[in-house]
Amino acid sequence: MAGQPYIPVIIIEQLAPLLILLAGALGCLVADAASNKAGSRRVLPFIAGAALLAALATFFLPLWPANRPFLEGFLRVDRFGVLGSVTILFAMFVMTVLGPETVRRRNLPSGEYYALILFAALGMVTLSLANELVTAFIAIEILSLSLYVLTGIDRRSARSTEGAFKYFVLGAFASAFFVMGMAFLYGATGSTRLNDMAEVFRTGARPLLDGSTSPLNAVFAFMGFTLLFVGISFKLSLAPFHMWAPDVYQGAPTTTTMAIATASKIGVFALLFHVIVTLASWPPFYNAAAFLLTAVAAASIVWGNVQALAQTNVKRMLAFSSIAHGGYVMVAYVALMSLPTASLEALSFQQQEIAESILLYLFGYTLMNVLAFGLAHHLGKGGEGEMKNYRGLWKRSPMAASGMALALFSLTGIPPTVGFIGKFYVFRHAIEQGQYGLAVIGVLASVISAFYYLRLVVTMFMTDEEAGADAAQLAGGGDSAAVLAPGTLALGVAAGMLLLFGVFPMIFFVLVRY
Amino acid sequence: MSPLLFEGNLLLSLLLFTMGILGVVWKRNAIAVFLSVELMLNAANLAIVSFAHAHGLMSGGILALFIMTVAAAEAGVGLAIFIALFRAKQNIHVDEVDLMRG
Repeated sequence: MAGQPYIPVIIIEQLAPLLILLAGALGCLVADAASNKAGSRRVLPFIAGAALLAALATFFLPLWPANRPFLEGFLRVDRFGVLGSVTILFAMFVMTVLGPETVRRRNLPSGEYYALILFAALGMVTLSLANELVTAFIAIEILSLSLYVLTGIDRRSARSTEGAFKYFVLGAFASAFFVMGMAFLYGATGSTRLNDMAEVFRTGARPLLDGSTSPLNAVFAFMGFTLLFVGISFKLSLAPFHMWAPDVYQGAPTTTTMAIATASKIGVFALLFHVIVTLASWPPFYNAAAFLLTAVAAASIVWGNVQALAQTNVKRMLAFSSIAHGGYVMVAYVALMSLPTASLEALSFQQQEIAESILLYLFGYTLMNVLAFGLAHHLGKGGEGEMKNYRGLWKRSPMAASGMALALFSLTGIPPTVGFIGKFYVFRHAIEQGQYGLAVIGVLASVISAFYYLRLVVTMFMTDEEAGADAAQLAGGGDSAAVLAPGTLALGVAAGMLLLFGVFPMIFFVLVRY
Repeated sequence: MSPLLFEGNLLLSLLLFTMGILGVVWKRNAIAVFLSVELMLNAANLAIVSFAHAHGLMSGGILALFIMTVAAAEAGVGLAIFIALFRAKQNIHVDEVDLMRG
């Protein structure tokens, strides 16, 4: 090697989805600067939507070596990355489709709005493909910084600004934990690439430059994982690191809330999956760290569901519900932790099964939250999602009420929806791996959750409007059908898939394996 | 680097990180809170470069550069949000940001 310049191998096609999203974002900014009258800005959502769909399409092309790292080991495309990215791009596409309505209603700067959606999508997709911690950190920051701005983009609304403030302060705090965790894992293993780290964890010794080895420092490794996990838990709004979530969800424009609740979490869940299978090569990992994940999962499930009972605002209720759902997904991660990894390139059959269940859960979770927040966005013109404004919705807007009811049934986990299937597989894995306590907590909490989800259904279907209520405050009715059409179509697709995968979950597994 | 210096660096980094956490928890002014977060990030940077130096690796220095760049980008967005909040409330005390409760 000495004397020869080192030339990194970069195959440009392999970066296609990332480059398409970046080009789309820059295109939106340029098109916005070049357009001199408001009418010509109508092209922006089409640029953004086309970029998202093109990036989505590249994931169906055979561009990548199967499950091998590329780009100098910085990225890796595995099943989790592909399906996570597709789900992320779908959620961001729905956000773009609902964009024109948000921009018009709140009078937002449209060039920046669509460019930030694409930048956020770029960060999320990079995160779900990251095979290296610094890449993951930069991806987290790209998506977080975009979402901070998208939360506070409505500067005239005090709630929007306040939401952005809280999101920013706690998000930056979480990033610091993430970086400190990264520092200690780097100190323990001498690398930030997950493949090299897995090698060090498996052999228990770190190779040095002179060919000898030094033993793995278990204290640094454990501290590193703990700090990294605290940072990740903040980003996933898991209890006890969830305190920002309700205020941010309520304050942000509802379409931004949709992205925070769904797409932003999928990228972080993908990173957590990759980190956990890497560390699972380390024999004492389960005994050392299982209590952390178990405690966070149980706390999220219990606290999320209990707090949701007391909410009178639909967006706040969905915030606590998403904390609880994060806890259900963590149950599958606890099961994943107990399985040792032989090699990152070839995960064991059980690990792949758990990966598929997590993916199905996240996919279903995205569908139902896209539907719920999308409808809350349609309906929440005056009242910002206050539950009393949903009274008698069935009489004013039967379609919206039925869609919302479908999303709520799915969130509860009632068959035949994808929410039921997702929970079924997650709890099955928990029991297979001997996590009986968590499975019992999860099932009991699901029963409690039925109370607050179904209360909203009852509010929509079985009550009348309050006498003398201000018509402008009530949810539903008003906007012309033409404005709502593309959004309705996108939400209709989400509702359809929700039922399809609920009735025929095998379709999902066949698609994933294909 | 002598082992003693390495351990000293690591202890200093942990001390700075803890000071950062306490600052975030206790400070009222948003700028001071953000300053504490920057302190935490730089504590992590110190840990990274001292690990890299102790192991004789080059990658740590580059890693620290990336973190500094990201911290600068974060400051740009953060201060803009603080200004927006100041316009709305005429102060940026973290305990007075309480429009939403529950």
